[in-house]
Amino acid sequence: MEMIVFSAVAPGFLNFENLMSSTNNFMAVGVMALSMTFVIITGGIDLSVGSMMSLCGVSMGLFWQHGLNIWIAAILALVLGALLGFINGQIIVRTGIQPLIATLATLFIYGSLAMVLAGQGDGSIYGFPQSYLFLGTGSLFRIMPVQLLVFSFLALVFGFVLQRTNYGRRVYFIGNNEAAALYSGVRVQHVKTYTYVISGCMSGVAAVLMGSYFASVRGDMGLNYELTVITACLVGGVNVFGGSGTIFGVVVGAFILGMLQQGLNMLNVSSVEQSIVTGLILIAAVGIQQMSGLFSRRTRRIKKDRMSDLGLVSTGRE
Amino acid sequence: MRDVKKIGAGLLSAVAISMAVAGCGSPSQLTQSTKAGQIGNASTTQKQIKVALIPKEIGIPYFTGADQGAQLVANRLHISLTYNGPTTASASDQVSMINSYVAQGYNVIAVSANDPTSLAPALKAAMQRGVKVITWDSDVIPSARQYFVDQATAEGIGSTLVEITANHFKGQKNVQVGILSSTPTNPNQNSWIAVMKKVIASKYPNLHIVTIQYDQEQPDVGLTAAENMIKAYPNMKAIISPDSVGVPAAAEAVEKLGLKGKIYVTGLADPIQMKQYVNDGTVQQFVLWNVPELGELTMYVARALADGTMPTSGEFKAGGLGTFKVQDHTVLLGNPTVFTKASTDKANY
Amino acid sequence: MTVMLLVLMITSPSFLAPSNLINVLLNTVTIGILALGECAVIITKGIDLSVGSTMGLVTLAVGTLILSGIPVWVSLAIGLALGLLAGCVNGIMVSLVKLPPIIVTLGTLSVYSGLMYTVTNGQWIQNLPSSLSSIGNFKIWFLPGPVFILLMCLVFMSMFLQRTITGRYVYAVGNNVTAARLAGVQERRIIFIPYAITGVLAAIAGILYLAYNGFATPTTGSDLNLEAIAAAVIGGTNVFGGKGTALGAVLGAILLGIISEALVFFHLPAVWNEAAEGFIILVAVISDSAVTKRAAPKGRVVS
Repeated sequence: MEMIVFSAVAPGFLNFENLMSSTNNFMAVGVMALSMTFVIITGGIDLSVGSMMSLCGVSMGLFWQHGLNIWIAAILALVLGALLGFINGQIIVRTGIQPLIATLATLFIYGSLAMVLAGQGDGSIYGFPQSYLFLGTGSLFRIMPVQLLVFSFLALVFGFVLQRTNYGRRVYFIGNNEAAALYSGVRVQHVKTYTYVISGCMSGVAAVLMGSYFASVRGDMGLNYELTVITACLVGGVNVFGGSGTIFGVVVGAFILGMLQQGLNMLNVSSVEQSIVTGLILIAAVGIQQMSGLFSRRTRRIKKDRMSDLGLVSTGRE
Repeated sequence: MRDVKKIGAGLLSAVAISMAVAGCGSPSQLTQSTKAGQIGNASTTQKQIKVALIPKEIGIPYFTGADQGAQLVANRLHISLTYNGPTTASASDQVSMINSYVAQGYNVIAVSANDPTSLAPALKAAMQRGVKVITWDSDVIPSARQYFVDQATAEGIGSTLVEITANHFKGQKNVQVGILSSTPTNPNQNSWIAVMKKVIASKYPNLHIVTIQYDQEQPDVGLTAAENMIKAYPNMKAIISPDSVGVPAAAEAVEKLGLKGKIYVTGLADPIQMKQYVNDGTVQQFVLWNVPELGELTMYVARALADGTMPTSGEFKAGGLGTFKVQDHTVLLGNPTVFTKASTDKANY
Repeated sequence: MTVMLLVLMITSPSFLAPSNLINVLLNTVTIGILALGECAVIITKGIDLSVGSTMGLVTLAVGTLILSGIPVWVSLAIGLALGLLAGCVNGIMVSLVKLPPIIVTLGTLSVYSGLMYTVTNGQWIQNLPSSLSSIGNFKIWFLPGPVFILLMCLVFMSMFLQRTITGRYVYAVGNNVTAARLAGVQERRIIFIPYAITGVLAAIAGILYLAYNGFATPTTGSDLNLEAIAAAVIGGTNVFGGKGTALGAVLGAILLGIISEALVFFHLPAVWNEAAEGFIILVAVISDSAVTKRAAPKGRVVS
């Protein structure tokens, strides 16, 4: 529907080639939103995704500058991302401090490290080989952007893992009732740590995609991405207190946000008004979800409150 | 999952709202096009062209000044001008804007790049689709644009800043200088600081740079950073800030600490924001170029490029604005101006 | 918090001179005031991501009004009202509409920061009259005005949280909403009030920001949203609600201020600032939770 409106008011929006290539602008956000879904469903949050993306991107650039093949460098970036995520996960499960705070701290730390590594010079690394640049800007048969292909593949994998595997079921279980999950033998700490590892790894993937799309990497390439990624998840129907959300919803959420930006750009709506619109949409989308689910939510809330009376769960405010 | 229905409802509503808002968005488009549509001069020998002028960031007086200059000549040159940029200096926001301008069929895109390399793929794609690409104020790698409208060379800016400072401290030995830059990754800032270091090393051994701090483009961060560096380096005699947030912040810090006249503050700044500090004597001189003329010149280059009359080297005659040197696909506005009390009062940008 | 005070003592001998301490305080006024509001909101198990943007909106609105010739005191009153309004919008959506606080304030964060540009047409606020800057630069005895106002806000907040019935209900709601409800607490009202107060505090911070810094850009405050939360949490406010003090929040803000100043004093490159900040947050929070665990071993069961 959004598309129909935009194509009606802004000729050129529905030009198929434009439409497909415009997805290149928000695939990085989409990829990180996929893994953020897991984190949020367990009741956590990862504010450090943008910083991890910067750090992975810069490291990839440095590896490549020191003579490594670009693809090996890219894989190392993914490994590094997983490692950074592992650190996040360990801080959270071992010390029991809140994910919001732990990842706020690592947001600062990773971001700062990325800036230091990128160096003072002109701060960016570029000149990557053409084969790598194809990943970010090329398209198959001139219509299917490679980035979109990668995203679709990842979305299928994540959807499968979340809905069809034991791991996915445990993710939901923890989000719905961590205490019950713990007592029924789920290795809660294990599952939670993995969600952060995956989040780090996907930040690495996002860095590889962005590096290719922009033909360069910078120390601040992931700045301010965290809130956009979280917004995509929430617009896509993931419950910020954990327990519910689907990959399909998040994919739609990411497209709504991405297409919205593109559409508003085409209408020459200034970036200021875009920010207001995005905020309103976020509130309205979640508000309407809330109202339509009011009944089922109310019964659940009573259960949860009773639980917290017993001191069993420590979830966010309902 | 039992929540599927709920999610579906939420998504639908999101779509509905985005539609509604997009509906509200169109009036602003209308006003924009009517504004641009006032060209109506009967003698339209020239074809009307659409030009997008993209600053690094909107909301900075410097870029607003350039926009004013560009608006001044746009009608006369039969240009319908769109001025829009990101709210924070972000390369990725600029890329999505460039892409949408290409899709909308703009003839010329003139951008002040937030990053020399990140914009290159998008700009190259634009050129392949027949859009003319100009950079102004801040360049990208040469292969990604056809012309660069250069406000002043990095050498000119860096050495002017150092020279006015060195003249102020003529004959004094071991003058400690602090630098207040914008962000550690800003390419313009870094190239100017590099030139400043080079000029100091080769010509003014009595100056030396003791620290580089960053204001992150926020006045309060700049003020705190300036105060901290004054306290941490008690012998520091001068602060040079090649950033328009940094100069007033440094001046404010000097006034707050009661060191007016003891610490010399200069840098690159807009006259309108320096008026109060120049009038009360905290700042004696600062450096800038004629910003509205930069916008005007960019429009002339856009027109000539669209008409195919742009010389690759030699001289370029820009209507009433004058004649400018062209070299290596770079149009040079001229040398930076040193502003004093008198010239600051006269400027209105 | 004890641990934090210790860190503060160890890092600060070089700044312990009273004049310098006052300077550090001056630089933490805005973040300190924001952290005070944030602290109360977090105690109710909420969060306000939009404090910095609310502050920025007030800063620019007040600046625009003053520059358009409206008397300073009238502009300030309008500014305070605007802050209250912004806070009430958050509060109503959280308490009445029952939307998750993080979503509401994430949304208003982008709305308010968009409005900032609209208010000023994207221009900077500068060349303000001296009547305004006198608010930022007056002195009471030896205390600079803004620091005095920070202390006033601190006293007000402490009194509110510790000495009033509403204040104690705020803790009650944060600790256990159901129990509070059963005890007859009007939870909606109690959850609403901290957001409204935060709006007013953000307005005060915004006015001081303008008066003290002398100029403002349309991105004012956008970097303070997360910092205010960080300050409150470093100061011992628990994100799960029910725990935290006003004094702690201000001390947290001071610690953040000291870190960035210390780095300059130790002649470290400025790019490390954020990393240091991140480490201190981790150290403060981890040690804090370790201390709490030891003090109350029969606390929460899960993780």
